[in-house]
Amino acid sequence: MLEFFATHFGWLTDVSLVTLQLASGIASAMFLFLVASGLSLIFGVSRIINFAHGSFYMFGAYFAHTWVQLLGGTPGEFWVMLILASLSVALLGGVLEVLFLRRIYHADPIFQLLLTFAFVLLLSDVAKILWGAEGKVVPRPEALAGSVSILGTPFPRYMLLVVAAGFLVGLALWVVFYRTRWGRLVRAARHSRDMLGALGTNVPRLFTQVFMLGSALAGLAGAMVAPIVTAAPGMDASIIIDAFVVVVIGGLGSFLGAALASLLVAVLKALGTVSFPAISMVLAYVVMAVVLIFRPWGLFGRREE
Amino acid sequence: MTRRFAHVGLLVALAGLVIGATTLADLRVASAQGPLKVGVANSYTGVAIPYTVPEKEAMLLAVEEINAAGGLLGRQVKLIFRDDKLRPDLGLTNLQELIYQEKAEAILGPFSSGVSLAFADWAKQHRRMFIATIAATHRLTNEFWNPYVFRVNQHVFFTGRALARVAAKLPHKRYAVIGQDYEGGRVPWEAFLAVLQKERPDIEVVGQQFPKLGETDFTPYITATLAARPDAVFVTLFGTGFQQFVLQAKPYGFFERVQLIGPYSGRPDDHRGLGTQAPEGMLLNGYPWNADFPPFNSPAHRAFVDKIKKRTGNAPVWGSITGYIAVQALAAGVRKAGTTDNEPLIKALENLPFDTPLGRMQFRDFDHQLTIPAWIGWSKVDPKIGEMTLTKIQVIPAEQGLQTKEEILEIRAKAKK
Repeated sequence: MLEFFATHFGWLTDVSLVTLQLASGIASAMFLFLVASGLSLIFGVSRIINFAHGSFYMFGAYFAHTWVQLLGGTPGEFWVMLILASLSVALLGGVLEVLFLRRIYHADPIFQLLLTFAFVLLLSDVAKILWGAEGKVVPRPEALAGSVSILGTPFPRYMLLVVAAGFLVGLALWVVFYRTRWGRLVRAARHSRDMLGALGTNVPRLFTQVFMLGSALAGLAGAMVAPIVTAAPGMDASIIIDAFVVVVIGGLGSFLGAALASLLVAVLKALGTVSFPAISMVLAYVVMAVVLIFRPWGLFGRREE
Repeated sequence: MTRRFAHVGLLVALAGLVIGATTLADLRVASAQGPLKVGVANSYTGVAIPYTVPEKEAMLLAVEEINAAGGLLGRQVKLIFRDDKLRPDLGLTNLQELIYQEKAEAILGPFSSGVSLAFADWAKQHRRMFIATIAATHRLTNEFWNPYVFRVNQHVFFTGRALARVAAKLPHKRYAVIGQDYEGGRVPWEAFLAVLQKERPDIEVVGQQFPKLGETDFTPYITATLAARPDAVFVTLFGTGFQQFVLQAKPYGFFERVQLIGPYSGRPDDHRGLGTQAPEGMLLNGYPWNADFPPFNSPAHRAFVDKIKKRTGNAPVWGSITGYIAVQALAAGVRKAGTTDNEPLIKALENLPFDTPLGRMQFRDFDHQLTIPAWIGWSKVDPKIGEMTLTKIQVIPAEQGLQTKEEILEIRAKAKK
């Protein structure tokens, strides 16, 4: 027993290593959070489970590549690119919502699932046609290319930006939802969209706006992850699975749930990689299974009647 | 009583019909005229792309040259490509489609080691041969081998043993591994480690990380590996996976802190995407296409490099040269056999020497492994060509790198038990 703990958890006494694993876990959590919170937001308002959300993330990465090329070395191009890539994905999401999703809000959820799944297949082929099947490299901004020392161990400076950006976006979303009129409308729509419509709010327009915001978050995550992983086919499928794990644990529709569950899943993976390398990927699914058994509506979700 | 017999009769008749139909179908395949179709059952997705897209161009080039010289058996050769997305199930579907619907008379590929083992089993049951191109697991030509299996690329026991012999002379004691979680990611490590530990009993394994095939974020695996404080890390990631790994590992000071050893990544397929960013001092098996010693500076290889550059705008990668050789091998066999019928073709190909840009080679008769050499060296960026190359290169001829007939027969006998 003692030996088991020594082999699997002995490393926890190494402070610099623990910090490093925690830091890289938190950095991955930020991508998960941006994607999962958009997914959760869209579901909370429109009750659409958007399978194509991972595709938006992938398009964010590809748009990042395209915009960097188009901007071609203008000062601050990286930051401009982040904004333009998010806006491009928001636009893509908006078009899909207005043309297709809007028509099936009242249909059986299974049709909505099928439609968004069709988007996944279509968008993955469109991406291959537009950008080819090989990975597209997005350079890191010069100033963020190196590394900083965390307790004597080098840590990529870019990851610090990711963590900071994740916190800032989280904070901004909170302000929007709890301190603005628009945020109040969104929360009201989550509660009862029919009542909101009866009170004179243009509900379809609100849905489109929410869908575009959710898409923009996925696009931002994709644009920020591109310099780390290169934009490549298949990134849509891998993120959407993790994002669903996050929203199931955190509770579909819950903003706080998405944030905490992202941290939980990513940190668990980072620590599990050291302690139990052979099964590190399974840990998050185990947590999800336990949550599904004891709290099917998620840790922070609302129980559906 | 009579009724039961009637049933039996009906069953026999049906079985006869089915067998008859399949034989007829086979006969039709055999007598098909028109272009000689060659199926390329391969992977054109994700990590495989840096290998297989240039490979496709080189195969097309080889076929154009054959057709310009009058084709094979007086027939024009036509390639048909299929993508298995690195999945054995899809690979088998493609294989059967190529053979039964497209009427392909020969099969080249696959890329993936995992897919190749599925092919070997199918080939044995259906008596149809294939020439594996990149698939590198040694188990394909050792314990899973049957006469319908041929292979062009060096296998990982060959490259693993060659690397282990160099590594054994290095001071490193603590080893770790990072590789994709599938046949081609795990087997090279086992082969490398087995040889290394035999020569150096003091070697210690301090970390094993096998992220899933297709993983793009290696950060937690990198930090966890560094955490174990290894002296050397064996990396079996390849293609775009290797490129992403290097970009992610660099900021952690990975290449200053550990010695990277790899069975694949000295090939431009793996490192060209990194350009001059490729780390120096890695111990790798590779394809130093611009080296100034034989066979790389031979007129045949120089001409090959020029033709590929002219066609694709880029120097060749390992996928290009092995794809080109695979077509040449098939052509040599068909010419000697005078037919594409598999049984005579197999006999014709065994021990048949044929010329390639990398010199004369042949498939050994007991494992159908091509006698292609391996080149081991240390990575160094060459600004002239805008990418890394290898220095202090050791050539390992096939007869030194591959197992002997006795060794392989013993492995097969053991596997049977």
